Amino acid sequence: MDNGTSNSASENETITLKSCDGIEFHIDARIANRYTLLNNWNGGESACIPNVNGKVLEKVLEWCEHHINDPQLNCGDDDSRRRNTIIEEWDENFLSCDQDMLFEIILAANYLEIKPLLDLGCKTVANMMKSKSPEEIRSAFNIDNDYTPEEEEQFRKENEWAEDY
Amino acid sequence: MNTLPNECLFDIFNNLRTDYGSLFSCLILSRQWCRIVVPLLWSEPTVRFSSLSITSVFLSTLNDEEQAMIPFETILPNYVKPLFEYTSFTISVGDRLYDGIDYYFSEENTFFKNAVKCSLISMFLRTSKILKNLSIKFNGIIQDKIIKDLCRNTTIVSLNIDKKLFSSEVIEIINENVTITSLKLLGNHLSFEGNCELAEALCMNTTLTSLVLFGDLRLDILAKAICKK
Repeated sequence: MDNGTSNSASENETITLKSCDGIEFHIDARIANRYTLLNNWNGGESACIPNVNGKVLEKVLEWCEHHINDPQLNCGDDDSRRRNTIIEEWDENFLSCDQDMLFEIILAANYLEIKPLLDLGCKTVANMMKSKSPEEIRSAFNIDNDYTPEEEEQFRKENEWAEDY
Repeated sequence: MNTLPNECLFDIFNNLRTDYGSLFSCLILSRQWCRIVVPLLWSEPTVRFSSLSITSVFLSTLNDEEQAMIPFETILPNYVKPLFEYTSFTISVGDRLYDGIDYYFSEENTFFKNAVKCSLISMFLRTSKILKNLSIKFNGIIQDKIIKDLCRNTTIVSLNIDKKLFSSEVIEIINENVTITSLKLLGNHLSFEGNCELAEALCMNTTLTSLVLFGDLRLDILAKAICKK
């Protein structure tokens, strides 16, 4: 298994990343080496990460730094990523932020292709939905109902086997 | 939540893949969510359980040809066309499908129920473009159309047949289907000639990697064939 830290970067090397709103972060170069998109933008002294603001980038980098020594899973190994349903305590605390920030982190992880963080964020949201009624989920996530009443009734009827499960 | 792209929503709902109750809650919330959740919810609908309502959706998906496979006067309830062709998302059809039909038509005779089972198998073979695992379990005549459809099918990799088949039917499937790698034949009662023909077909087959046989089979003949491979 590739541990993802075998590139030339050493522990003392740092690079500078700039968020889309101009905030600079000096990070361990091994983080950039590990995640392709961060690495690709490491073209000069300060590389800009478009689409991710400073507040969110700070959180993303905090997560990357904490997990710098984690073994790296193969990109295509979706099943093994899915099977691992346990969320570590540190990660759980890390994502105990407000909902907007949680979604911003998921968006950034998706955009920057940081798969383990994306999985973690998605698992966290999924856990928030578990065992909740449709009304509870609608209100928790502010989802607009765009069904007609007739459609909703038919849809409920066709899928009620799942509700009863 | 509305800002998350579909690929992220898919990842979220995929974590709830086997949590049908939660998936149901998500799917009736909005059109965007339902388009993502329906394929997950209907990927293995008959692997875990059966119910009247799911059987009713399956029956409403039968086309004219499949309905004609039920050679009785009994009129199927006049179903409304479902909002989705749900079975197009089905990856696995399990034994519970047949339990569901027995339950749904508990007042009917076995002959009728077997005809309905055949028509539903035919419907799955027609509608599911991603069907990988199929289990066929009932006692009765399997219609020739299903054998032909199984021979032509190019998505199924695992076929589990728990019913008596004629050796010619099994051999046709083994000879013609090019994707099945795992074959389970339970409850077969083949003649001596049937065993020899099956052995020959197994010798020629280059796709199967797993074979489970159970029934009155001449294992000495089949073992010789398998050893040759």
